[in-house]
This record gives sequence, C-alpha cells and structure tokens, in this order.
Amino acid sequence: MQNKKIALLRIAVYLVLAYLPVYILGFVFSDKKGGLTSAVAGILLMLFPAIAVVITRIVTKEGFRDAFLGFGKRKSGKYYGAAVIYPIVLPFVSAVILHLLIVKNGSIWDSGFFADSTMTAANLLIAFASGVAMALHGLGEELGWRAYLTPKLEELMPTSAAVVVTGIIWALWHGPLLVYGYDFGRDYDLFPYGGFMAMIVMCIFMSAFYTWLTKRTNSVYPAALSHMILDMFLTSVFSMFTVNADGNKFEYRTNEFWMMIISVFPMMIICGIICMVLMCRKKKA
Amino acid sequence: MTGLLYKELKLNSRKLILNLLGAMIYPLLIIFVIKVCDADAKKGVDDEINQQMLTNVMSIIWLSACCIAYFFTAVIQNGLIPQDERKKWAYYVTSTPTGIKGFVGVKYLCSLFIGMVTVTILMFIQSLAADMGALKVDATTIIVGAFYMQIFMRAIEFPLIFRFSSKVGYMVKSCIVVLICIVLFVYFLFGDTSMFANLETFWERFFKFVNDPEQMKKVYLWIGIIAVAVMPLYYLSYRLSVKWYLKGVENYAK
Repeated sequence: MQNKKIALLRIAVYLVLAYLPVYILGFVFSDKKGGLTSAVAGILLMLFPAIAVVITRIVTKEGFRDAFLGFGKRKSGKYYGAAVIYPIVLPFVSAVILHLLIVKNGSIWDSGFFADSTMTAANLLIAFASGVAMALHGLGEELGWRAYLTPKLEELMPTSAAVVVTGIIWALWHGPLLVYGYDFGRDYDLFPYGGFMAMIVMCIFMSAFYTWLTKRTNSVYPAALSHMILDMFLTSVFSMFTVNADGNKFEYRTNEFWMMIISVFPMMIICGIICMVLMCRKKKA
Repeated sequence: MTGLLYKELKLNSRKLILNLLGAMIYPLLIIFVIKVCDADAKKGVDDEINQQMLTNVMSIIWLSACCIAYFFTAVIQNGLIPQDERKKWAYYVTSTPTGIKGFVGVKYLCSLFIGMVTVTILMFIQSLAADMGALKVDATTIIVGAFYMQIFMRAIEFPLIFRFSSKVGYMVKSCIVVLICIVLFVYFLFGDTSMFANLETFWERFFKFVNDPEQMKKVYLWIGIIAVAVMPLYYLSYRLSVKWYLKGVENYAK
C-alpha cells in the first residue's frame, strides 16, 4: 500500500513537471492554427518530459538505476532493426491506403513522391539521416513516457492497462496544440474533441509499440530512435503522397481529419495490438 | 557496458559541459553579430539583389559558426581514448565480461552521443536565431550533414588511435592530412584553376549555384547518400578497432 502511494506521488510530481511548461508554452506561443509562433518553444516541447524525469528523480531521490539508460540486453539488434523499419514502412503503407480509398483525382503514381526522383531520393535519405542525428529529441519524450511513466504505472496496474493509461496521458500532453488543430487540422466535426479522441487512440497504440521495444531491449534508445525517424518520415515522406506532381493537394473523398485516421491509423493499430499481445503473452509465460 | 558508459560520463562530465558550453557560445555570439550587422547593413541597401547577397553572406557566417561548434565537440571526442591508454587498464578491461567489444563500443557510442548533443544545441540556437529574425535560412540539412562529417572523421581516426596509440595515431592522421594538402598544392600549381582566377565571379557563380533549385537538389541527394553511407562505415570502423585493440595495447606505456 505504501509503495503504491509513493508511486502515485512520483507520478503526480512527474506529470506536473511534464505538463506545466508544455501547456504554458503551447498556449503562449500558439499561432491559433495548431502550430507555434516560436521555433525555440517548438524545439523545447519534446525535451520537457526528459527534463521532468531528471528533476523528479532528483527530488524523489530515486536515482537513475532503473532509467533504461543502458544499452540493454544482448542480442537486441533485431529490436533496433524493428525500431528503424517500422517508421520507414508506415508512411508507404499509409500512402497505399490513402490512394486506394481516399484520393479522388489521381493515382499514387501521380503523387509528388514519383514526380522528381532526385528530390524523392534526397528526401528519403535525409529524413532517415536527420531522424538518427536528432534522436535526442525522441529521447526527450521516450525518457519520460516509456522509461518512467509506464514502469511507474505498472506498479499500480497490469502492463496492458499501464500502456493504455500512458497513451491517454501522452495524448493529452499534446493538448495545447490539438486545441488549435495540430495533426488533424480544424475542418472536422466535433473540433477539437474529435482530434483529442483520435490522438488518444493513436498514442495508445504507439505507446504499445514503444513500450514493447523498451521492454524487450531493456533500453529506451530503440523507442527514441523509432519515434524520431517516424516524425521525420511522416512529415517529409508521407506528405509527398498527399500532393500531386505540381505540389497541389489531391482531392479527398473525406476531410483531412478522416484522411489521417483512415490512412495512417490502420498499421499503427495493428502493430500496437500485436505488440500488446506479445507483451501480455510474455508476461504470462 | 552500462558501467563503462557511466565511467565515461563520470570522468568526462566537467570537460563535456565546458566544451558543450564552448560549442554554444560561438554560434550564439555569431547570431547576435548577424542580427546587429544585418540590420545595419540593410539600412543602406535597397537593392533586392544586394539584400539577397547579404543574406547569403550571413548564412555562410552562420554555417562557419556551426562548423566551429563541431570543432569544439571534436576535442572531447578525441580525448575519449587517450585517457585510458594504460597497459594495466587495457588487460583488465579485456578480462571483463563486456571485454574489448564493450570498451571500444562505449567510446564509439559516447562519440556518437556527443555529436547528437551538438546537433540538438545547434538546432536550438538556429531556432533562437529564427525567433530573433537573425536567420532566414533553414540550415538543418547542413547541421545534420556536419554531424555525419564529424562521425566520418571519428570513423577514420579511432581505428588508427586504437591500433597505434594516440601519439602515433595522431601522427598517422597528420601525415594523411599533409598528404591531402600536398595533393591540393600540386593541383593548384599545375591543375586547372580558372574558376578561382577572378574571386568576384567565383562568389557570383557560387551564390548562383546555391540559389539554383536543380543544383541544390543534387547537393541534398549527395548529402543524404554520404550521411547514410557513414553509418555502416562507423560500424565497420568499430569492428576494426575491436580487432586492432590488443595490437595497439603493445604501444601503450605501463
């Protein structure tokens, strides 16, 4: 009972420290369209969970013994491989779904991705290289959510529930951006609540994948690497499939919100479910 | 391995912080100078072409500041290996469960981590410059490119240092640099140097090249290819260092 109270207290301290600066910066520097007017604020947002963890661990005198900062178990190579392959494959699967189900005027071959082979190759390579070089930004978030919050929640509930709760908390952490249309735009019913719901679903399944990577390797680095590469690939590669060769957006059968959900979510959900099953099965074994 | 990593951080923490601060100060000073000079210079310049030229010059100054930041952090990366050049330590670490692979791997990982921290710092300063209105270009690709260039340099240096110890290793590296300089010198003496004949037209052509989207596409592609190629090279360099480590130990002092 005492241990649970301590865990709850530590979670509370961490959440206050992780949420407060992000909400303050998010609202102060919001451009009211889902972006930020300050580039510095944008860079710092991803680092706050890590800063919050460091402060929490110092304040609560926990130390860094279980911070998943080591390079983990031997033979973790395949998980590092999965951490890299998943974010590379995701935009392509999403693009196929997008063009099969949503785009009205044109096929995948008319998209910007196939318009200029030099630029496409450069974008692919630079997105990957930037994802690796800027992995510390990913570490900023993963150190907080996967390496601190999930293990702390696991002291209070089963792993699967901890993953779901982490996903919800992680999604709500993006609140100030979602309120103004970050990720899903503003042109949809139930704005911005629909965006919150979609973000919660996405974060739960992404949380399952990242937690699976962290648990299997006993290290936070694969999740950090995967997170950053995914961010890079979704912004630079998937966006090339949403425009035609002239750079104009394709016409969709639905709005931007449902386009994102229908095209990007399926692989995330399937992958998240598989990871959740694998985690629970291992636990039972 | 985690213990070795902890040892590196513990032993180098002060050096690391001081060097990273050093790496930060120069680009920060540069953006303040750019902010002041750019505004002053543009007061008398109404011409759009000259304004563009000024922006280009300021961008080059900013990029040189980024390179200097990488030089600062290269000092820490280069200092990682010599501090453990003792025979006793080398044989001790070889006998541990993590062994040579772990020991050498930690040096490579620390070097990579320091490079990533430099990228984060430069991205932060670039964002600050953008907020201040001091910088109108996005140099992220160049910052990332410089990171891979730094990693490439370490991938070449580290096996030499592990094989011949730091003294001889740096000498071998210096010999390679001198050799490259001699080749360049010979080229400038006897090769085709017509493009440098008139510096004014050289810069004009350079800025024309930079502002040409088709040419820049090719540059981006090459940056991407080189950056991605450096990763397996860095790993191969690690494998080579592991192989050569015990041969290099013979050159260490007691």
